[in-house]
Amino acid sequence: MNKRELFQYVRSASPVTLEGARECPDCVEVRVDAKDLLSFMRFLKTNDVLAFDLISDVTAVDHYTSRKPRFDVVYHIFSLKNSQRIRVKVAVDEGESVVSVTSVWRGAEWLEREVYDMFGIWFDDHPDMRRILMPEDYKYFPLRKDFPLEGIED
Amino acid sequence: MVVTINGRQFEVEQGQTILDVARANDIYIPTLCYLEKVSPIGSCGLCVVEVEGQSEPVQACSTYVEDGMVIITDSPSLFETRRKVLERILERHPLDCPVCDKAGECRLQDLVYEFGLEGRIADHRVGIPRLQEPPVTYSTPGIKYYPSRCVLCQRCVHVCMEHVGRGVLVVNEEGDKARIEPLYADNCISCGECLAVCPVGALTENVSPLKARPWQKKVVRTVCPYCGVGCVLELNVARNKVVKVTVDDTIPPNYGTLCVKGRFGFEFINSEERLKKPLLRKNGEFQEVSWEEALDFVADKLSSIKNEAGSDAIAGLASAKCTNEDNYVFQKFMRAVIGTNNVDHCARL
Amino acid sequence: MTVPLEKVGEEMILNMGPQHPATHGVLRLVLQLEGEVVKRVVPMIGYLHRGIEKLCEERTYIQNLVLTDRLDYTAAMSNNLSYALAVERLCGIEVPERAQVIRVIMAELSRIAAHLLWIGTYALDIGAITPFFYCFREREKVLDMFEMISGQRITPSYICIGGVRKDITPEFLEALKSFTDTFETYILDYEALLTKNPIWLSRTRDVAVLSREEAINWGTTGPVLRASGVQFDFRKATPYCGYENYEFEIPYGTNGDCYDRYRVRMEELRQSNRIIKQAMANLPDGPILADVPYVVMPDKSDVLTDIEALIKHFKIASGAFQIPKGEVYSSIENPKGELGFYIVSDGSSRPYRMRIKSSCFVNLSTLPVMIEGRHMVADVVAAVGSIDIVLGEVDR
Repeated sequence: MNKRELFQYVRSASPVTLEGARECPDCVEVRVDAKDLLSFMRFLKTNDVLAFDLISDVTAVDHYTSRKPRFDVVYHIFSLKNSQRIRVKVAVDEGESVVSVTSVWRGAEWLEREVYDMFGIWFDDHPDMRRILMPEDYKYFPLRKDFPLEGIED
Repeated sequence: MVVTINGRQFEVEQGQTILDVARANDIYIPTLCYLEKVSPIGSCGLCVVEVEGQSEPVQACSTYVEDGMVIITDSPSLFETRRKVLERILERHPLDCPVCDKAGECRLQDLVYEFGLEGRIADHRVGIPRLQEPPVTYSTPGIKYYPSRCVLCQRCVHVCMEHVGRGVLVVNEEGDKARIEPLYADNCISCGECLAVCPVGALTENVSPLKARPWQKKVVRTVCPYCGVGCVLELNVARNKVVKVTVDDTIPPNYGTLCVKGRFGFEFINSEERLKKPLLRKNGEFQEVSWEEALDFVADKLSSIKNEAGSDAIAGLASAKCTNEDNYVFQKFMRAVIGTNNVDHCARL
Repeated sequence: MTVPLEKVGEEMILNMGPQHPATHGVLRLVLQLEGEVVKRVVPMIGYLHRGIEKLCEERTYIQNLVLTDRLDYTAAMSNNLSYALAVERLCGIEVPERAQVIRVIMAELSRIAAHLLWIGTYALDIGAITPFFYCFREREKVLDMFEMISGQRITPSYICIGGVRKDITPEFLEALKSFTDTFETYILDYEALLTKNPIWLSRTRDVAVLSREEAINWGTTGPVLRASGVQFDFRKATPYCGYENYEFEIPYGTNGDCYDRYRVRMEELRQSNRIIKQAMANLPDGPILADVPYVVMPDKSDVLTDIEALIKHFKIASGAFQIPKGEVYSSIENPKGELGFYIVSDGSSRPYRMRIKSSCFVNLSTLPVMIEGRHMVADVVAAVGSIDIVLGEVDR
């Protein structure tokens, strides 16, 4: 199944309404609402045609003041069967939380911990929500745009 | 009047040049010598455009519009003409970019990059002998002049003559040896206008020992502290020190013009000689004391002088570098507390 | 630092690392032991966190290339390749053919170098000292070849945006030919020492088994995934750099234990050698840098004598070029797994967000699954080594 077919199939067969869907040069990109996230992810994994079973990456982008809601949590999931990748984006505001996808792919566990560590986005139902790279008692979230490159001395 | 530029029609008025019309309507014509605050110079030849009915391309900066003109601003032959102009300038330009102060904000660099000039088969005789020629004397010690880098746009000559009105600079000699010379150096008031308008690194600032590239600098807009006009200037700050003063041409009250104090007078900000603590002369030497001790001493002495010799034995001198509020409090102090009218201000002198 | 473990009864909490000869870097493992059996293991990382993703936001794309060398520092050419491919995808730059073949040669050489280092140090962890010297003897030859073309052994920064930096010399091709001709015999040497060795078998067979479903669910990639029975390689599934033109096999295991991971990597050495031979035989002539003037720097000899080249070099180096707005995720098959770059560009000369997906990070998260409740302390060493982590990539 090539990228165009995948794009059309996802659009037509999705159980939730997609806030945005487009075909980027490298993969298919889909935007969903935070409340539909878990059901959409389950659909991606369990659907026989799509079979998105390998979680590639979970990360976030900080739009700072240029957009509200501030963050975008971005998931990249790969399908071993079709050799295709899909990008799923969810908009999250500061102080809000996102449901964790570790119940769908366990591999997201450490990846989501890193997103929390670097951006401060909390994931509900995560088995082990702690900081991973920075020290446990670190007060700031380094990859946010208002954190200076030199760090904050305390 | 109506003219057509690149197929689009525009309403124009008598007295506008083609370049004025293009700039007002967001049509890009590359320029090097054009300066908005003086009359068109026309020395670079980059702004050539094709006008229907004329056999040769004309300079957009100095050609006035007429009713019904049809103008093309971009075509392959125009591109070639502009390239040749740039190549002619570059043939005598030294390989100074790594050591030139202006690199990174240089108009010549931007133009070369925009035109995508590729390296020619290197003519070794041209580039290397003009490397690192030392600066020559100029009309003011605040500016260094590197004649080898000059592209002879003559912006400095025109600005000094028309805008400032001092007429210090002229173009001397012809052809390959043409130079800008400060022939009437006695007229120079060190206002730094020539420095501000130079598009390349021929005129560079000589006051700050620290230099920085454009991406290392932060630009802070502020008001000059020296006198009551309150010119707006931009401090270029790198590593917590002021390295240069630039101006934005569009901001009142000075619209990009400064005097010598605004342009070069920033050394006091980071000077080593600034006082950080009160000093009191004890045993013939200045010693650091606390604010309480210093204020007590001043109050005691002023009171004793007032009692012995009367209020008018004391005079006060304020400074333009203080704020209005500070100056108000100062003259209030002199008049109400000390009781004298002997208060003056440095700007009146 | 507090640890989410609580002692129960007679259990012992043992700390391994961060300074430990067998953790392959600054990795801290906290083990909860009942006797010698490991009940829980908690890996704690972040000791080598340098903030590369944050640094990349403040530097131009060309400057960031140098930072990518330092991720998986045992196979630096692959990291350069992954980053260059991501940026080229974003800008739409086409790399000339000769550069593509050279890139394949370099990527496979770095795969060989990384696997050789892994075999040597893994055997050393288990207790066999001799393979270390044998493997590093060949790795020296590879590093010498890297030095020949880029001047550096470990952090070459040779593969750049638009192609490769300098063309390969006849001396390099000679050295490469003598290397590939004799490499098969050396692989037989390593196998003779380890593959049927009873001590090796008893230390690695059925140790740290990761089943097929678990491997896919945990998002592992690379030899860890292949050893668990998934015949998958990004070079075949999403080919890049002309890999579809080369003939090679993808080795995979059935058991998912440490021994299978060792066998997979050994076989990959052979396949890499095969690819290099094919690449050398089909090396086309032509330019080595794409003809994109706004990203690719002019030749240094021109820069020193020609004013236009000097200006262009200055402008490119100081970040005057603009990359089109957009985002891209591009990944390749690194020796350790999938190294992916997710670049968000806002149209300026610096990335807005540069995300580095590292396979070692995800692979390391499977360690508790492999070990807990089943194995003893000595097996922890075998398991950690078999995942093949490089802390530079885990912590970034």
